[in-house]
Amino acid sequence: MKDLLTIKDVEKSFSGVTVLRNININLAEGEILGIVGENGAGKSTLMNVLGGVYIKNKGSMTLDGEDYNPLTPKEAKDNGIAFIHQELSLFSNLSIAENMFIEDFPKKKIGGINFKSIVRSSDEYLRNYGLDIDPKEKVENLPMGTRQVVEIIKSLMMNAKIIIFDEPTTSLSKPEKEKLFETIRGLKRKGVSVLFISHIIEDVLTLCNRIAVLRDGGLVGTLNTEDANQNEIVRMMVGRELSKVYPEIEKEIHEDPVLEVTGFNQGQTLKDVSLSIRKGEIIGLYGIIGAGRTELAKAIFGVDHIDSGTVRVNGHLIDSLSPQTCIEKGMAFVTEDRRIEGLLMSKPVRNNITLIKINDILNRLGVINRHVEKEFSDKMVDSLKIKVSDADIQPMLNLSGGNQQKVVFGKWVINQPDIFILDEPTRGVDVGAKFEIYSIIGQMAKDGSGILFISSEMEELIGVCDRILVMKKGRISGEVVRKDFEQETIGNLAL
Amino acid sequence: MKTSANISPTTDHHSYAYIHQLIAGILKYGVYAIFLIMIVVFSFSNPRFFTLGNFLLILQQASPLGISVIGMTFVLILAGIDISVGRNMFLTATIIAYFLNKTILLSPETVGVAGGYILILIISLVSGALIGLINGIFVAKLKIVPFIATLAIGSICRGIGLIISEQRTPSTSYLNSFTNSRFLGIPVTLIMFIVIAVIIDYILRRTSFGRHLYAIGNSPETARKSGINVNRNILIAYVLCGALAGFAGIILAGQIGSVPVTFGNGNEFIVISAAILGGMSLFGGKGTIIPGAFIGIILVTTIMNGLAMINASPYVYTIVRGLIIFSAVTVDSINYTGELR
Repeated sequence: MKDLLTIKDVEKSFSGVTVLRNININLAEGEILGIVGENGAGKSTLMNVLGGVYIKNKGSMTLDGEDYNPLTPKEAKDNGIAFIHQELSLFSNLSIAENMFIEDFPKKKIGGINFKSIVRSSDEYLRNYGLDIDPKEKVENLPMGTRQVVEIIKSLMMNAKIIIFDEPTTSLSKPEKEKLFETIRGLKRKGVSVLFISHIIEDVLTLCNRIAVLRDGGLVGTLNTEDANQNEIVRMMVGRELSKVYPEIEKEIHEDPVLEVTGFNQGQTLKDVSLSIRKGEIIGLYGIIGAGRTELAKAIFGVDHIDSGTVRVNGHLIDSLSPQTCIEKGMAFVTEDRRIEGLLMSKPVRNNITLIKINDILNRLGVINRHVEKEFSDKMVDSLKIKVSDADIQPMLNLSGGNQQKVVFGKWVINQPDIFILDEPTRGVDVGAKFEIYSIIGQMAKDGSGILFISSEMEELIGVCDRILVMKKGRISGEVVRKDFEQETIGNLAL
Repeated sequence: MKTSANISPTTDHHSYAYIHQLIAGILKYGVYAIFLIMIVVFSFSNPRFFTLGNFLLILQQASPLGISVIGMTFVLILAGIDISVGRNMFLTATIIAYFLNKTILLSPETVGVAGGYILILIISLVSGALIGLINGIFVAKLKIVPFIATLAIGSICRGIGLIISEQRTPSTSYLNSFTNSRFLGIPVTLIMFIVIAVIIDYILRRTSFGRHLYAIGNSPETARKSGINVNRNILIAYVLCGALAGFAGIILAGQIGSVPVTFGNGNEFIVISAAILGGMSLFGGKGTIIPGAFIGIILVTTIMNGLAMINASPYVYTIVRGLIIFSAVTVDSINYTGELR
């Protein structure tokens, strides 16, 4: 098959820092090429160069035999390169048909939009791709998976030759994901080429023909999927053997409990939930979505009200549950969504780390002592190995997912809490950073904290925890201790 | 085991959907229920309330501010707001009054003849549009929060207006012959309101400018990526909002017959609350002229008219006005997705 796109020796740097170097990739007609790499490996930069958002510094690209140097996103689009972003670019308050033609409405003589024609052609396109929905339906009424398909169809309508998917499976349910894969395979049969960016290696292995692995801005290699396996890809991504996915940390579990939760009830979401965590213990909390895990975490931390129940920290009863009292008593809560609930995204690392500690670093006049603040933040950046160019200046937005998460940890660790509640702490974090986060968790337990680790990834719970509690429909449906850890047992308790 | 797990989410989903439908229903029809109750109360309190004559009067009263609600719709769809409309009406009306009383350009003699009214119309539209343009530049180009930008511009407008009028109450009763006239028994201002409503409704529903406004209100960033000129559209929206507010100003001046120093005070709140009662959202992205803006302004005017009919204390008006805004914004904040009206 002939090559549709060739990327040769492409290099890109921002203000002297090289973020892409010597990239050589080719994409054949009707091929699905997976692009994997840790966060910050250069996947997005490469795609943005392709999509005309960034302009490369060196190297050449050819598309269909001709030189290809897009200067604007529009130019890329006109050349048949479509970009399906992680956050979909559909207008939820408009209909499917309107969304499909928003860039260039066909007009009637008096200037109005020719609605009949856009509905008719949208309907045709939808039908061609096996979507039996009314093009007049508003996008807000569609499930996520369907929206994605609509966006794909929209790009095909503009005669896309290459479609770039950026982490398309993160917000999809399993059946939706399978359907998306089916659609992508359909594209391939029609001769459309696909670049599939993902950090879920499993997805890439099921879907792609070949896999290109990026690391630190360079291309490590391109594999044929038949010759590839998960371990090898991970090794190429992180640059070292991950024989140990989980760190081994010698720690001691004490007898006395740091946290005792008894008889938690909250409407339909929590029913008679009790648990206790001992000093130095890591407890996993597993369950399917909607089982009430996040709700439990929020209730313990006093974010949401409960109908009944008590919380004891180190044996002392907390009278009025609120985040403020919980923090005072030594609790820490790493929330599920770090962007919204965990961090001030536009502020630099330093301000984020000292956010909770701020009252302890005031001088006598009640003004923040900047030297102490800097000391604290530098210590955390150091001990948690946060990769940042300047912790005083660089805003959180510019950090990779893993480093952002480490800052969230740093923000709490600085307060030396006795109890950590972690809600999906490794979501959206790449393989290498996951290991570091597990290490941080282990270290915290070793230092005597009790940890409640909520996760949907059973494997990581098995790898890290001492005990796993399973929730189902707002109740604790079972408890498994380390020696009995088995995927099937835990899974059955959850379903 | 698996089957039970599969059944329960669906039942949960059903009950959730049921509650959602219930809330949606209350939000959608609750306003009408309250409205009906008030009509019944007013009708029993004053027999003259429930008459054709009074309903025509209500429509006539609703027209000027209704025209301004139409302008406000553009801005609200973009998730913006224009607090200056009331003071825009004041300044525009003052300018017209100045021309009528102090110059020969629009002396009472020339107003009567054909062309005079058109000249007044043009002056009011231009004056209003210029105020809107300044608002638009502040919001679109200088990226100032709409609330503050329009608040400041409104204050400046009132100041200029007071300087022009020398804090007197110039007469605009010459406009009466037009603004209070009827054509085939229908108030002329109502006809103008309806004509403008139909035109703007078409623009919003059926042109790409309209669709682009809804798109920007939904997600400005995505709109920009889709090649929509976001800043230009915002600018145009504020200009249209200003122009229609100026237009509303002279109709109001004609109906009242003069421009007192309190002219237009608080009209921005009537306009905004009518718009939100009509299904627009302060969060942008939704709203219609027909029926939305129409229903909104008629609801508000009917309540005001009814209060006058039952001889309520004038101070009660401001309380009721506050309650209307409060309830309207509460409904909006529940963040009901989909169209209310």
